[in-house]
Amino acid sequence: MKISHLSFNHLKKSHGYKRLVEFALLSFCLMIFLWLGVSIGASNINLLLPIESLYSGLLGTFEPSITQSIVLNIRLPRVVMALLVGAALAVSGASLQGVCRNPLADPGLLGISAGAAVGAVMMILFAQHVPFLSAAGPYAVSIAAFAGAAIATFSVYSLAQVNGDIQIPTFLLAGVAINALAGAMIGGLSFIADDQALRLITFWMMGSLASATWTSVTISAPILAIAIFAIYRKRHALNLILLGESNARFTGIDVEKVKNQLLWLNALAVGVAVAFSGIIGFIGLVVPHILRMSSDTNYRYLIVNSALLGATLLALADLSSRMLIAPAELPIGILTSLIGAPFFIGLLMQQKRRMGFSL
Amino acid sequence: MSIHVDNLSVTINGRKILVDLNFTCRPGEITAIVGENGAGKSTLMNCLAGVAEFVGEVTINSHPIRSLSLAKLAQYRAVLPQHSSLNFPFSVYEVVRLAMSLGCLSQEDQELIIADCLALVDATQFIDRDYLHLSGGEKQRVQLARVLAQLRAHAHRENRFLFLDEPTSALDLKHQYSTLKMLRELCTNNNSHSSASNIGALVIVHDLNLASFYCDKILLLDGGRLIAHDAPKQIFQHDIIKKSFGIDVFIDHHPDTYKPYLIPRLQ
Repeated sequence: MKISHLSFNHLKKSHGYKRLVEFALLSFCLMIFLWLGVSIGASNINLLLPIESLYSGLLGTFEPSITQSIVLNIRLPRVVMALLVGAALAVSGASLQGVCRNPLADPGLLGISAGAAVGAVMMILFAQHVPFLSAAGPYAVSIAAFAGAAIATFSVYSLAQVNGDIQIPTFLLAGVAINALAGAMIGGLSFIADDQALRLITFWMMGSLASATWTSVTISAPILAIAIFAIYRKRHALNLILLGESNARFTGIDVEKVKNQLLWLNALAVGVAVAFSGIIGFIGLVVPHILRMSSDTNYRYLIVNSALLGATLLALADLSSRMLIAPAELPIGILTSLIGAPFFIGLLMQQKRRMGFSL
Repeated sequence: MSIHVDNLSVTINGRKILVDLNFTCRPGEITAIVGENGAGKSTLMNCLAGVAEFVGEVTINSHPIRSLSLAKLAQYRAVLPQHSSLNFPFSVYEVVRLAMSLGCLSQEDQELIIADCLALVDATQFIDRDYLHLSGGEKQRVQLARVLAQLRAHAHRENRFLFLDEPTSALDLKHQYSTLKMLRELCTNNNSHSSASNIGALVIVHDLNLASFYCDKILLLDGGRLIAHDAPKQIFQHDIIKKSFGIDVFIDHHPDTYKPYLIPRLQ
């Protein structure tokens, strides 16, 4: 007994310390990229710009210069949107992996993002002809994206369920099917769309944060924050579900209820994220995986860390998409897929080798 | 205050899995559930654990289990299923700790319980190992520690029960015996207030000798029917074993404890 207590103290200290460092490091990186994202742009690069702009913006003592208003009204909302969407996608991926008890789950791969895009595109097309809907603008698109995401989520989930169990091969195949269906629907919709709508649809398919404004930030921020917090509150249930659904039930979790709530929250987070940024893949897959490799599987820490790292990575991706072929912009969804797809392949190969995982 | 089973029947797709079972399990007792493969042992355990549909009535501490929520049930009983699959890299410490994550125990109390439960299954040395890197038997012991921790987390409850589905299936000889011995001690003298224990256990085992050496009663199932529920020496009759398991056996008595054991005839 004494020996075990000693090892506990040692464990507790080293783990607590490590977690604190990790949290500090992730927060620091997030601040750095927030800073860089605001300082660097196509028009100029000035690391002091954020301070100058904030000074003039907040105090209102000076008439802001053009660059300063670029920072406040274009770059800052864009970076904030990148942080929000990145956090939402990463937390959504982390929680889906818990619900499915599989580290390969991701809102993009399972067709949830594509479902949201179908909803959004439909609303964009129909809103052109219905004055009431076009006035509702981003709200209407968000609601439609949420509906599309919810339909995709529950279709994939019910398809993959065999006798109350999630079958992994069926699950991934259901994702493939929903993705294909959503792709076809978006193709069909773009076929009947006019030029202006076509441009918008292309935007959904490739993902971009270029259209972020303070309006879109104020609509999405509270919804995404609530969704992330609600998922965080399910952290214990998520941990226990990882032990197996029967074990979770024996420990006192109403597994069906919790899974339903989590799927709705995922549809909400992904739907709203897609409504404002289009399809950005692989964040939900890559972020929790990096965190599991480097530190903790426990959802007590994984959700918070995923939010921080997801936000940081998407801010970095957005910065790169603006800088790589400046003054033009690379669509951010293409960038994340370019990096994420090889990562996914590596993950598949590693799983095959290490766990004899049946895919 | 125990587990009462009244006319329990289970029918799945027209096939009778369990037929009209009646029995009682008391705290302080270890009951071994034995029977051929497919005799309905695991189904019975799922019914008692409150996660399977059945006809009839099961009460735990006088509460009909249908009336108890999963959260409430978790305070009265802890269950070790036959298979536990975990694909994510938790440490052993965390796996055991998960059993208590819904409770409101302090960090110190939780750590005491984790240390105790790991010691009970002889797994203290794995405490900071990655669960995925353990061998099959080591994983099974850690899962058992987790189940014990769940029971310990609700120590204020009057009577509690352990349902273990083949807890020794992956264990080596030494740990098969040490695990059952530990259970025996847990069920015999785990009560600071009185001499009787307030923990009872139902254990599915295939090794009838283990059941004889460490269990108070054996519950013999055959084709979903309760053949016998009695002390081991009543069950260890040549005719009963022959009828239920279809093999001829020698029955003798252990020189240390005079408990019966059996070995199959080879011809």
